[in-house]
Amino acid sequence: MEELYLKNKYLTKHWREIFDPAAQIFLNSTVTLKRNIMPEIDLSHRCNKKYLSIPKHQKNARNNHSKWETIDLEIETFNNGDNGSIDGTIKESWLCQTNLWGFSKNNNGVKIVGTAKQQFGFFETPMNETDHWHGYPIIPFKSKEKKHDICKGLLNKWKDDAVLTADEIANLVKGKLL
Amino acid sequence: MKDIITSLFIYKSQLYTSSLDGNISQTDIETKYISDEKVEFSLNKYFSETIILDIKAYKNKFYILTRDGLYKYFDSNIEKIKSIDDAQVITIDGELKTLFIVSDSRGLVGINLNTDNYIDDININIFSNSDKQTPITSITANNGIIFLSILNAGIFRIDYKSKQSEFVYKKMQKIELQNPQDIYHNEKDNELAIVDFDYGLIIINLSNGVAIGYRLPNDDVPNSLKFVNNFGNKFYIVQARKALYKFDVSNKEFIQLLNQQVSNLTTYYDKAYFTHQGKLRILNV
Repeated sequence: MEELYLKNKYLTKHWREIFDPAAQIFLNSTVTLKRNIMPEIDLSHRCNKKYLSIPKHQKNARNNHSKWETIDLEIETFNNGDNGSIDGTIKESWLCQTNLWGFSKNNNGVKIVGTAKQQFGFFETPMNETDHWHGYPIIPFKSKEKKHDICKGLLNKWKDDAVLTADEIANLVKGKLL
Repeated sequence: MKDIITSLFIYKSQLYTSSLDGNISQTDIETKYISDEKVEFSLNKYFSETIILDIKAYKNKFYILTRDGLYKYFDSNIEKIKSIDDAQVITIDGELKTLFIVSDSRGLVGINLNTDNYIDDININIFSNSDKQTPITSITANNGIIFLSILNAGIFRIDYKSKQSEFVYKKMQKIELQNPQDIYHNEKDNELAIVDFDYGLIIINLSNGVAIGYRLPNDDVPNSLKFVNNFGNKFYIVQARKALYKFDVSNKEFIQLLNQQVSNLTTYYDKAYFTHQGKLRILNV
């Protein structure tokens, strides 16, 4: 039986708000998930948001859907969008209408999170409040679907919160890799 | 508050700047262009509901590409001349007097600049019906020869007159072009310059297909490219993640112009214009 060990970095925003900084103690605890029992890997157990990594968007899937480089990057992207920050602090989530956007940064800039060099993740709000969230990597402003254009409110928020510069946003709107 | 500038465009010594809030401003700049004519332009936050991607001009008519279509501004009037929901890039082919737009759903759209009439859509067969994206990062058009740079794909060439198209310059000698971010078709020297996310600057001799790659200093990653020909001294200007560079074509060297991240690079005569944190900057090349 193949077992997948994942670091449980996915404590809920709800609990982190209550226990933070005490919740940091739990951040390195490990959960074991059995892939043959649960083909869609439930990666988080948020009070408000539960997240599910969908196999069709995982790197080894054979299809034309966009794919995450790793499940860790997928979760990091979702967590940053949900937390509304790139450093784990809890702020207002990165929402356009009700859909969530996420990205992650390192010293070189915005990380590549998708197998086709995507740097952003899009997480559509679930149909039902109790459903799991899921998402996929995407290059914004380069899609047939309007929902993949990041709204102006969020672009301004990223600039105001200094998570992206005005120059990075200008390049992002042009569909360039940052 | 710093504005987010989405495009810079220079026409007849006037600089046009679009911002994320939907405004387009016009500013006089000193250039070598000599003309007493000033094109009047006044549009205040007309595009507050959409994002302005690019501005072009032809015979005092302005063409403004937004995420909901193409608008024309002329003689103080603005009108939407083409509804396209998923337009990606725009260019003007001055010799053909044709404006080209590329969109996922329509392919290559041609518009006659003399009449502003739509000519045709050309199905260029690069857009799939699946969820797979075809991100086009730039377009050039010279007398019906069109080049598109496409992320995760390479360079696509369209001969508009013969309606033929194909991928070109994807694998060249030791270079496998994967993520072109911008292109410049230097028609006079018959070369195509490309900046690629992974490789840096690549210059292809279009006569013989020989391609030479030049890595950017400091492992920098390019995202935009322009060209300056100053009395025979030729430079490619490269906007990158960490800095702005010029590449001297004669001695094949990069020189750092500015050690800062910038955006909206454009050139006019011998100067580079760009924004840094929402403010206009100008450098002599």
